[in-house]
Amino acid sequence: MSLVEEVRETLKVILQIGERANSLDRDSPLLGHIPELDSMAVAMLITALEDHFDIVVEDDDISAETFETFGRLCDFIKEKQAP
Amino acid sequence: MKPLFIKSIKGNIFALYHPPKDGRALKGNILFIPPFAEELNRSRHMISHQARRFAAMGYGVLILDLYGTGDSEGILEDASIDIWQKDILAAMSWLSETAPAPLIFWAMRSGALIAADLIQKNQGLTDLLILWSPVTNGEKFINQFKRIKLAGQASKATSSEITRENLSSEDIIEIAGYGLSQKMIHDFSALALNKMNLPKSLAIKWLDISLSAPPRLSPAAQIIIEEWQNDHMDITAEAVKDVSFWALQEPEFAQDYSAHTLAFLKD
Repeated sequence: MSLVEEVRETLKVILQIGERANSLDRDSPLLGHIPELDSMAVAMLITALEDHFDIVVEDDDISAETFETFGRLCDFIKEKQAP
Repeated sequence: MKPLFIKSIKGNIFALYHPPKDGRALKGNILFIPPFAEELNRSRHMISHQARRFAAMGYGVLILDLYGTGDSEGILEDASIDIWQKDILAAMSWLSETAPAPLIFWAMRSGALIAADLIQKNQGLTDLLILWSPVTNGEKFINQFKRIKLAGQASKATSSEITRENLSSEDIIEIAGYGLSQKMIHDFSALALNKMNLPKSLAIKWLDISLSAPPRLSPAAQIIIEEWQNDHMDITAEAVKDVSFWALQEPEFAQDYSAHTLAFLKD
């Protein structure tokens, strides 16, 4: 599975958004547009992403920008994975 | 299923006892060591589902609410890991008086840290530890929990005013309705599975959930499991593709995960 597909799968499972996850593309807005994505869900999502991708998310990374669009979130994880 | 209160060091703790189903002969006792805060809230359905399945196999299962949580006495901000471990010992006494049988620990998420620490301090408490998606590092876990507050700010798209630094200066931190004392933060932060000195006589069954197929253990889990294997510990570890139910707003059952857990006891 590609990184994008793995991020999609994580969003689908953690946010419980089912088929809606399949239609996410790079420009799809997340924060403020997916009602399931409240503060608790953001925290649970980051934890799941950390565990799944073996990355460490810093406090400073947790901004509205990181979760602005699906593409931005995927880029963020790619950056975190870079050695 | 029988609700009851057990007298412990700081007050009465609430517990639910699932005796072996339909008068089956008692195969053993299983004591559940719960996860923390919201993760426990979101896991209740799976815990009681699994308890019923264990009971159907002939096990007596005790699910307890640690001091200051659930229906037990006290408030969370007065609790500590030491108090919780005394609660666990009190629950063990209740089980051994009620239905004497070999005891299995079944610990979930951060409950794994509490259980493993108790075992390293009292070797011989149990010969079998079942770990449900264990938290491997307490400090990381606390930071993840504090993040709920940070995420609250990000999701409101305001500038981040609460930083972890000023979170750590308050005596009691209130996060998502849970009061966390500095003592509790300190206690958890001191615990990490890779630092535990567990007895060789202890068999460990480790079950993780993987979001992708084919399922794989998380990298952090793999490191510890390999270390334990190199150290000749008796450890079995598996990952199952299923839902991480403790993180979900709407309850979902992780059926494959549950079935794999039962299989651990069929050897």
